[in-house]
Amino acid sequence: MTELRIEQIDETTWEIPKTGAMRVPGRIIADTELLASIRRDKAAEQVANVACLPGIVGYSWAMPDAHWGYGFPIGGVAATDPDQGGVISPGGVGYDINCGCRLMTTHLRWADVQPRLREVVDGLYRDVPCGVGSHGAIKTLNDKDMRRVLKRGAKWAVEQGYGTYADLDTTEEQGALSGADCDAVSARALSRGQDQLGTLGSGNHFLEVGVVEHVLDPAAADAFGLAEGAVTLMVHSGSRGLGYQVCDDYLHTMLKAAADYGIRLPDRQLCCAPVMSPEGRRYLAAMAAAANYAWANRQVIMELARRSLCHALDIGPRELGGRLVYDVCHNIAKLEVHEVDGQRRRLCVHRKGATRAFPGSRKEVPAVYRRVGQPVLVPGDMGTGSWVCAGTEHALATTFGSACHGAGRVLSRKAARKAERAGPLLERLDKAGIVVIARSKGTIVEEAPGAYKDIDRVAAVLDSSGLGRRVARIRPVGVVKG
Amino acid sequence: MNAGRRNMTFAFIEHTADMRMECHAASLEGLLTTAADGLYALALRRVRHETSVERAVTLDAADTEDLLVRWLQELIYLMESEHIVAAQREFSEVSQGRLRATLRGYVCAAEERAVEVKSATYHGLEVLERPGDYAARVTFDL
Repeated sequence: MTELRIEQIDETTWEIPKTGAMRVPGRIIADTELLASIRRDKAAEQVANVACLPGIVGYSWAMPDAHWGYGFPIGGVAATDPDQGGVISPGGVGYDINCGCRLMTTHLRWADVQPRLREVVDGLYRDVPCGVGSHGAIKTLNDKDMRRVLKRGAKWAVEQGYGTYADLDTTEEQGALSGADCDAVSARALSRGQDQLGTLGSGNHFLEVGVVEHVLDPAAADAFGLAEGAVTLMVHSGSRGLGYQVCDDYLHTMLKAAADYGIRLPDRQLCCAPVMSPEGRRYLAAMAAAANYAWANRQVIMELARRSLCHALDIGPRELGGRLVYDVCHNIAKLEVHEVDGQRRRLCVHRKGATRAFPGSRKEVPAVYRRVGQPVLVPGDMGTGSWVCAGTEHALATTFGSACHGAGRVLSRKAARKAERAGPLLERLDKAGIVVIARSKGTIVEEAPGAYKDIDRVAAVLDSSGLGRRVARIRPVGVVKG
Repeated sequence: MNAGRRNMTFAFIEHTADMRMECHAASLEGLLTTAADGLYALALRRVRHETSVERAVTLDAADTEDLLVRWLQELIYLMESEHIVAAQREFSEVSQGRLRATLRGYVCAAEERAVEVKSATYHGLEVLERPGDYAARVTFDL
């Protein structure tokens, strides 16, 4: 393939002009260094491929953390118009449907935790099952409970005693997408989900104890409950095997549907169907069910972690003061109303490795954040830090209210394994005051800081592009990996 | 029919987030066998030659590429749902659009797992068929 032409629009915006089968141009948010990394792998090519989807509106977007995925790039955003034949693609959501992050703040100060940090991390590792095929966090769910989880999402978990109703107020969609249909979820998918609720999984999923290092936007930080020196907990997990199976099942459906609807695709993983077709509607219903499972999963994990922290520090829930700042999904397709060329249109917004970043003017944003915009969680690698940003009007006007979801990988897993050994890496992190426990040494090196882009650079680009306002930086002190 | 193991190889190649695998074999059966070996080499610390459980598999597919992906997805499903590793695969029918096989293997322990493979994807999928030479490239989502 000939090298893609990429033109600079402004300091942080780059355009792939419309050529060939592209229906719209592509746009990449990056500085020159991040763009070089995006060009090195096939992410830019994938941005161009996504631009070929029927009914796509505006631009095919890549966020500053974008890298090569499968079908869509990771860090890709695309909106289609269902009324104009716009499609929905399971490849634009990913296998881990509603993979996402949640951030909890606490009343604890670093000095409260530092002397018992090892016990805290050991406790989290013991109390939240993690690793390949992890299961058994809570009782295995029967069919009736599974149906409730898929319909009610995080609310089901709260009803079972995992957390409080206040947690739902600061969860995207209050922890449950409407339109979930259990009958659209296969028996195989249901069986994979029965014993995995409340488990972290493996790979890049994590639990991270952090400390708010500095605040750039005091008003927003105050609204989010993030004071300098406060101890936080971040959870990164998704819909586990249930979500992977839903994606598999519907890729098969969509491959056939794409052929039936005469949709030509540059990559089979982009297989899709019109949103309003029977196949499109059924996938949306199954995807919503899997998304709800993911919200229930993160809700249970957070509550297990709350109890674990209380146990390790010998304190009660009131002293802990564990308050959910926000839970955001970053692998999803949602029907949202956006203004395009002066017209309000209902669009199907795919965010694959991208986070919603709505300003406070949107009714979807919790009332407590209406003055400052929704929290946008941008976790970095386990040795560097994470950013909490705030959604902006500019993001709403350009990227359908979307921003990046993390640092983004820069090294392949194979290259990361070659670059570093687990022992010296753990020693280095330990010297930096970061306690890391992982089920596998392989995971530790694959997730090494050098495998990821510089999170501070990514957050700076997000800020200067206007897509997300930096609010607070969190440094990691304790990490649990699968 | 058992696939001969001569000239059957797999190798992993770079992909930023996930893992790509290239396989070569002299026949389609051989290609499916090699792809299964590659999957297990990625997902497990080691494969035991044990055949205490048996499962029958029948798959229908649109073409050879689809067949390869569905085959790998089936093996991943068995590993994730029942923790079954199909150490031996015996094919009774293989064509571009259909596969019937008897899988024999064992239930593996969590400690034997190395990597969680979410699925085999259709991204960049290729199967090249020439007489006596089959080659494939498939990407796993990790």
